[in-house]
Amino acid sequence: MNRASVPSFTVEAVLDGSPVLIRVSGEFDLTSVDHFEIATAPVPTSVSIVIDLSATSLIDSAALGAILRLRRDQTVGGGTVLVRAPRPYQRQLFEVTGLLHLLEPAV
Amino acid sequence: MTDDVPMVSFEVMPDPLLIPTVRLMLRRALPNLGSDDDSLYFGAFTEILANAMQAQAATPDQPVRVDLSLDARPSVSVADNGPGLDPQASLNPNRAGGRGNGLLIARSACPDMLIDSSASGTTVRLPFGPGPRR
Repeated sequence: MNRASVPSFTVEAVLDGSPVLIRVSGEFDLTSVDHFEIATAPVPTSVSIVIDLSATSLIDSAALGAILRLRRDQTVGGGTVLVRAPRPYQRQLFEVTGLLHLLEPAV
Repeated sequence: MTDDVPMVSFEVMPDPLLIPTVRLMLRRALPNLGSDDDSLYFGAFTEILANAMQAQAATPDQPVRVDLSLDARPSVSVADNGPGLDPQASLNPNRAGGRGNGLLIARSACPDMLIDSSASGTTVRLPFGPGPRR
């Protein structure tokens, strides 16, 4: 990454697949949680979702909270949420917060 | 013996929207650790700065202070004038979930993190370097 650049945040919801794919990239922190929640709001609560965090360069506890809220809503509606987080720093984050069970099984 | 360690200090108003800007300033000032360690370190810094801003919420006209020490091993300190915290309670590893795990996440990323907290404020120092290997 260019040190002089501001790491951007983007979130993209691919609604026409199964599972629904939510791609997140950049710095996923408390300042970008609102964007994540706006982007995921149209997803029906009855469907399965995979949140792909592969392209994130930072994840904080507020981001984890947003993922947990989405999972809670999906569970109530009959849907599911799994997280794709293959990088070591991502796995460490989910491990230390007791959230490894959210991770998609390795293929 | 010399104590003229290069220091960069600045004050940040307790507005979370300023966090990415502060992070960018530090990224420019500190060496690149590599992708994963960089993510862990600046993730830890984000947690600490967000906690400090939250602690300062009762006095939003008072800034949070950030000190960057460019010693042989650089470090970043974040100080607030909030009511203090209980590090042991905040570092409880049995609390699963998101927000509220900031110190736990920061400690995992920076095992050498130092916390100095009293009823008149909290200072957290994050030595710069790689976190534990998993």
